[in-house]
Amino acid sequence: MAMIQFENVSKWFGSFQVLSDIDLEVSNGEKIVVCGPSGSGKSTLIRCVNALEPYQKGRITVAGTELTTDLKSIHQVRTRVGMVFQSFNLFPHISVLENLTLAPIRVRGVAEDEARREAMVQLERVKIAEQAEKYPGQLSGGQQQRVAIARALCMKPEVLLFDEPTSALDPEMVKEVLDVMVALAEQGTTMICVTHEMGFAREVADRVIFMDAGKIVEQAPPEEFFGAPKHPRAIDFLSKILSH
Amino acid sequence: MSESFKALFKGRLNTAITVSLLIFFAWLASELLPWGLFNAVFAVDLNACREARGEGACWGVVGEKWKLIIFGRYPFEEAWRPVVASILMVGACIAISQRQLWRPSTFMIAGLVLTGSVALMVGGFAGLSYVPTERLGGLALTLLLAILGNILSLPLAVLLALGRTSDLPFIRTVCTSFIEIIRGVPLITVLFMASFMFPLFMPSGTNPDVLLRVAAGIIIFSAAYQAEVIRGGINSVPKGQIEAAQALGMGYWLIQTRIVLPQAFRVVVPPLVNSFIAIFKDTSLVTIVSMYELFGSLRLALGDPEWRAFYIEGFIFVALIYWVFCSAMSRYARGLERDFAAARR
Repeated sequence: MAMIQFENVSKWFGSFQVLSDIDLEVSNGEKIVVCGPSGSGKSTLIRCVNALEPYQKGRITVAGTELTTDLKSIHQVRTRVGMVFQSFNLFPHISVLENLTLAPIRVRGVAEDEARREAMVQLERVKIAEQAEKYPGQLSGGQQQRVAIARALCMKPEVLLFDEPTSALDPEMVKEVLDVMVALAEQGTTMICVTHEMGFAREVADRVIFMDAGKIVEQAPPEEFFGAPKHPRAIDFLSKILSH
Repeated sequence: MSESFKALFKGRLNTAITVSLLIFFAWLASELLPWGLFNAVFAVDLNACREARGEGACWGVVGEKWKLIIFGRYPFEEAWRPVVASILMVGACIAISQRQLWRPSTFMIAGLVLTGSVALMVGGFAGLSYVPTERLGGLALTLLLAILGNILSLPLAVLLALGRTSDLPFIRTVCTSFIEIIRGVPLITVLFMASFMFPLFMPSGTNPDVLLRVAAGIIIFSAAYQAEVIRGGINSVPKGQIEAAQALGMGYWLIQTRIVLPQAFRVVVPPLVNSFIAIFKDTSLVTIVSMYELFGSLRLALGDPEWRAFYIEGFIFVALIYWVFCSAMSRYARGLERDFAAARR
């Protein structure tokens, strides 16, 4: 069964159409990389998956729950979908550990010490356990993004969404974040990543989706997409980002 | 010589500014000190005061009238009650201003202490003689009104600020109108309405206590101002914070109470304390409805034709009391800002 299904989804910002007739199926355990020029609607696409953006036409189903304007369906989907943002969005006023335990305790009703134990497990996983008591502002960008990934993992999501997770990082910190993402992919997590890290796409993606002007114009396994792109926009895009 | 001291005389301009300021302060001292100190009369001696007039201050007016200034129309033989109540109220304020004590139980105890202080002053139980609320006065009344107007108004202010930033149009309109109407009129009007017009709308026969009405007026007024200050803080929280919380499945109230408001309050400490200080001094406006808080009591005291001439000394005395409390609040705010800044690093 499909983990995420877009059926004929369209979305407008005012009169500007950001998504038009999107059909997409992501199966359990699949790793998708979404790329495309800026303004093509890639971020909007994944933000629709956990209802950070409403959509006006079509149907999105996540893990069997249809996303409607009904708050219950939105809540249900959000507790099963984790998200990692470009700008980390850690809560600066509470410690790293509290960042990780707040939602499990208050949303999923996990007991406090159980949540702390789980948080430490996830911090180990992103190799940053020694920073648990610090505040986000005391960490480097790469460390913050790894904490953000651990925070999403603490909710035991069935799907992880990454919205350009390395775009706001200094170059030398990109690798530590990508390493964590690769490890997650190898463990079979369902992932949708909006990213321009083509090396990452080659290594882990089951499918690369290329978007332009609100449409999915090409989707293919990475070797096919990078080896022989078909759509002229995709050829143009790849020639621009791979030319250096 | 220390660096900052050297900076005072660094270059021609700095030296000129330093020297002219020194001269100014020396002149100020030479004018004020003889009047305030050397030629002043400290004894409660009306004749000596009259002789010294123009030459020296008459601090005797404070010695003569302090009971009236500090306690207002409260029966002086029962003065220990407002004294104890004031100590309790200030103590409660000091307790709730300690960050490590910020938990619900502290606020509940503080609320009980405040209620107890009012009960102690009003009496009418356990052998305490009954003192009608309109006879509460002086410093104790100033403190009571300031605490009510600054602390009790905060929950209301938070709700108004959340309402005004809400996505629900009806709630937003109601909160916005409330804030704009209250902010658009002077406090005196609100007090006047609370005191004289409000009873007209009540069912006949019910006549809410004057202290209650005045307190309600101050609370509503200060809540409208604080709401705008807090709204500024709410708007300063980046949208990404809310999105991250939503993505974690957190609901509206959880997001507001755990993510948005804690960050908003850190930003608004200075303007919020500014509004605390303003309200503290604005309590002096309740004289308009015949409540004699510190400032009103002073005017009551200066009603004595014998001592009326020495009003400047009286005003200075009362101003000093206001200053002590306001500068304490201001110091506290600076400490809090430092703590928050440290926690962010």
